[in-house]
Amino acid sequence: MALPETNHEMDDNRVIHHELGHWLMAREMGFSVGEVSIERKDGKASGHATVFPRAKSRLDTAEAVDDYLSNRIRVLLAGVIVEIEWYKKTFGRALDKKEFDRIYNNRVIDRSGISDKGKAEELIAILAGLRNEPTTKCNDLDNQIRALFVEIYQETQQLVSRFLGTLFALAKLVSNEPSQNDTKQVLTERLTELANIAAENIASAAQTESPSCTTYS
Amino acid sequence: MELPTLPTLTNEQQEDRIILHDLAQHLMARELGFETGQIFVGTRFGQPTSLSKNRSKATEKLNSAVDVAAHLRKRIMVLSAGVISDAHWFGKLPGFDGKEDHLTAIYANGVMDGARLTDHDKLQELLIVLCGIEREPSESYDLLEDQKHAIFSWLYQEALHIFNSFSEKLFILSTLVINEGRSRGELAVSDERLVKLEVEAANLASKSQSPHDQIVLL
Repeated sequence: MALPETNHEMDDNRVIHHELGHWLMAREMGFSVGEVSIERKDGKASGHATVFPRAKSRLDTAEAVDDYLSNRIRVLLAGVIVEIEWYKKTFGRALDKKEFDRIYNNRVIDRSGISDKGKAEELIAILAGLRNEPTTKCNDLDNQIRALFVEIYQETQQLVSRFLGTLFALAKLVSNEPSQNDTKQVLTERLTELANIAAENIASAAQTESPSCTTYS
Repeated sequence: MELPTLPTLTNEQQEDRIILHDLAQHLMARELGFETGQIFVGTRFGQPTSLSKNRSKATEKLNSAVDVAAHLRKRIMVLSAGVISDAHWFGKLPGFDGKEDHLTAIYANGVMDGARLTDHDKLQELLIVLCGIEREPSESYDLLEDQKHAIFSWLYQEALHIFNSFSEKLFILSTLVINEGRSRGELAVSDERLVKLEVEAANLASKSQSPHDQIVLL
């Protein structure tokens, strides 16, 4: 099935969600973050979330390397996972496998033309060397990489589900930020401020919706 | 800093560039003990694209951070071979007067793979991991950049040393591969066929005085 048609406004919105997926996951994983920008060039929306991946402490064991690689891959995958959630929310249905592949392989490309897929696969190949016995068959490596991908993808989905409500609220706030010359640029401080507002809104909405959960002392 | 503009390439030139790039990585990968596969140049996003499988998988289980570092160093050298070959290719492009800062432009605008990634993009990811293993972490991102640069410069020189040992054969081999038949506009040369072409290239190289002369002869 072909992906649902989107107009310019929806497309910008989709890209905002994708980039905020990277941005919020990077914060969750303890990486420093910078600005988020969305631009429209040649009729196409693209975006960029500034993330500063790096090891916080020395990667002196296999476990420490595994941990860093897993976190970094989660940040890379969060964009596409959130994008799929955006499709679900916007069109009221889940995407089939072909649609998923189309998004994963071709959709949001950031400003420097880098797709998240290639970077994730480069790192997953190292992770495969850490976690699996080596194989002499190319197909086996592909299977190992695919299995690892699925494992980390599912873990990332779980993590995304924890902040998805905040992300949708944050995306709404970001889409209301001003644009200039087809570019919307939200600086780190402003984004942090908006993220806090979004989290507060979600928390207070949850409190209103479930009064039975209120504790009294 | 604004990088100098590189010449606009025709699709044919871009294909030739990719072939040399992928072959350089293929030969470097083999020199460093990785398994190699076919050379595949196709079209993605309307442009000639490198689709050769080049993952440089670990040949032994990586049991420690030291193992990972050793693996990463070799992988970085394989990717560097692509950058080195690209610089050579532009150096031989008629009418192109490359200055020193063109190398940075070539590095930043490298051959793209099917995921629209260049060697530069992959190297940046890998160098962060290698820095994390080999250097003390710092709060300063400038320091991290310096660390990455120092590690990359060292490994690039190591790769250049190996590259020079097979460059003559590589340039002849790329000419032979360029002349291989296409199917639906795509070029796929199997590992077995490459072995045969490589023998032919090695023979021609042994008869030649300089790689440039040899390419003209062919």
